[in-house]
Amino acid sequence: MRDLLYKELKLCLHPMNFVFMAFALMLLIPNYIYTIPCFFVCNAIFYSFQMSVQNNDALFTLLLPVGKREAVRSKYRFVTILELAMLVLYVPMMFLNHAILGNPNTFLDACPTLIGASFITFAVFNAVFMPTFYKTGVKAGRSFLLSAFAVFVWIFAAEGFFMFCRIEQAPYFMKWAAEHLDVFPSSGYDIGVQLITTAVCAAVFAAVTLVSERASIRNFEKVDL
Amino acid sequence: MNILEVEGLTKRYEGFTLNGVSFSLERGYIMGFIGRNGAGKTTTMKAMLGLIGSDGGEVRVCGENIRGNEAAIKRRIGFIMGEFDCYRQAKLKTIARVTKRFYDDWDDAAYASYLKRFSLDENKKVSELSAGMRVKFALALALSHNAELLILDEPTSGLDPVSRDDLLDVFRSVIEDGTRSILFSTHIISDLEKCADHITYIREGNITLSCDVESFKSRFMLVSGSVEELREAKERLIGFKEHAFGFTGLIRSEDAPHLKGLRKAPADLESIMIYSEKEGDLDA
Repeated sequence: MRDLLYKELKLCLHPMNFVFMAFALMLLIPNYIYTIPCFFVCNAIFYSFQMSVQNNDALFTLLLPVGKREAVRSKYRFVTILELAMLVLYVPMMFLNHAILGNPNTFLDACPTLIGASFITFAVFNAVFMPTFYKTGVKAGRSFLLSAFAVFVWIFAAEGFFMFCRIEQAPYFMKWAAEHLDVFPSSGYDIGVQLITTAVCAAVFAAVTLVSERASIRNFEKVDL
Repeated sequence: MNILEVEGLTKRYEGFTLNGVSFSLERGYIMGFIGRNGAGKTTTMKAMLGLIGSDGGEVRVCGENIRGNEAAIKRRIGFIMGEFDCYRQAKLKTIARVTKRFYDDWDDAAYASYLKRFSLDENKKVSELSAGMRVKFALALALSHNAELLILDEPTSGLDPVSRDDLLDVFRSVIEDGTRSILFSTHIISDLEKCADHITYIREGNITLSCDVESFKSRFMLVSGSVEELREAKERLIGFKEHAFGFTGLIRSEDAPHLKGLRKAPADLESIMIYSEKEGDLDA
């Protein structure tokens, strides 16, 4: 797997990944939708897949002593590394946002809940993009359109939820969410609930990605190169 | 000892079936895999390595079934599909550095010597190489991990005659020590005349013949005669072409004594392929 990951990083990593990861700096824009920068990473992953298709990467890989299963797994590790790297970048940005801009943001605040929400953004992307891509091994554009649609449905749903949490008529649990989840945590209680929320989202991300990986392997086994 | 055994390899597509392909290749020999475009050469090679799923059959390399031992067996194989057409913007040294990590038997000294022999500059990008140089680069990668079996799909198709001749010399030198074998597909029959020891002929997804070159050629004869003679000979001809002075055709050697008066000549590979594709049945 290490050798395959080396191959991914050396031959399949599109340079736009670095540019789009720098979009973590968008967390310093006042009143911005902070769930959006992760979508740019999804976009960069699409570029890498597109580049792999143009470079006949699947054929090169499968002529090495590697099976289709390992080839798909290595792509998943590669994608997961890029996604987690973005979330790691979110951590210092979150503190900088708090130090420079302070609370509150019109949309979801730069706080641990945001990282949880971003885990789900990537889970949605992984669930749609790769299993549909591996049905053909070549049609990355179609898979990206489908996954982009799904990601934006999730972003609007999540951001919409926290917007509605702040209206006067919102039910109690929404008001509780606005008060404890959509805020840079200052109390031990807020830190606790936000970290638990993030951990649950991370677990969902891991589970969805694993199920998606199995589906992709199953789909790719049927593809004739 | 057989280095490669293919038995009953089957793949069904709508409109085309690779129908129970079977042949074997001994260590130390070159086998030419011939057939028209679309006869099933590439499909056979891809199915052998699992690049496309098969609907039946077995492929054994050095006695081991490739299914279930894919990684171990691929370490002993070098598979080249035409010219090297991957990562066109990457430098050769980057691709080599990635490739070598997958092979325990990678030989840096051998790689350097092949680069020198093929006049390949490691600092060039794939896109900067000519078609011939790309085939040579793919060959250098395959030979540097000490592949015992080279499977080459139309490696000479895009090359000029000088480069083709050069490459065929390389093939001969690769098998010289008797430890390696080459299976290569082509529709350039003159390449086979120059370097193949065995021929496997595929036609519409069926293996029609698989034997050594001399036996292959000795099974057939070219005949020619007048239009009147054609009428008498027609039913024994595998295929024929009429021209202003009569006809030229292909017969099975055992039919030669029955066709008195016709001019007869040994058949070359190209004629065998052309005449049999024209009319039909090569099963001898």
